[in-house]
Amino acid sequence: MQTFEIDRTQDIPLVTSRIYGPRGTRRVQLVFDTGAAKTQFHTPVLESLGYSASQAIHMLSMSGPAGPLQEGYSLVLEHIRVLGKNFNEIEVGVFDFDFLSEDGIDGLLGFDLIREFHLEMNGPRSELIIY
Amino acid sequence: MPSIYKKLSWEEIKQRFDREWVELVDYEWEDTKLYPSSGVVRVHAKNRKEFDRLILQNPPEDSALVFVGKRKRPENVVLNLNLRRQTP
Repeated sequence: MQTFEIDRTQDIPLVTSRIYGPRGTRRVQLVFDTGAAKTQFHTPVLESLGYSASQAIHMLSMSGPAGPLQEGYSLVLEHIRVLGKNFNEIEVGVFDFDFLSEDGIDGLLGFDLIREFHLEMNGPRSELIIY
Repeated sequence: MPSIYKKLSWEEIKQRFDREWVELVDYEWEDTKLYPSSGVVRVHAKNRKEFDRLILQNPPEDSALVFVGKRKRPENVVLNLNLRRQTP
């Protein structure tokens, strides 16, 4: 069991991750987003690690309850470590979070990875407990 | 903008770079903590577009990207990240 810190003062739930690419590694905070089908990153974050649109495997359209939002693509991320677990070669979405990133968002931890965890959130204690 | 290469504690970073994006190198960040404990600020910017431009200039092998402080959005705006799907 491991206990991870969450920040109750923020309006959105954030977790930290370490991602790897052809040119190195980054620690970034991701929104813990159970409603997102796929884990996603802000384009420049992945570009700084050496990824590019030339590695796209699918073009993606992101849509929400209000309709289509944005076009992007997916690629294979070499490795991500998040909440104590390691995932290799996973397909992630790449979008320009031009509006959201002004507020401090580098990416979203989607349900494709969240569903791999046995977890418990203790909001009043600002804890996310991973079993 | 590029900053001075001096290792700062997270408390010092919060005081100097409130509501800015910072890229840290030579940083300490425990796996279970939401924020780093220290680091050298390589670049920082109040504007995300400017920050994106800076992090792509000679990107280091290992760095951390962090927004310092509380995210603030206009009143009466609710950020709704949920219920999103992607279609190929």
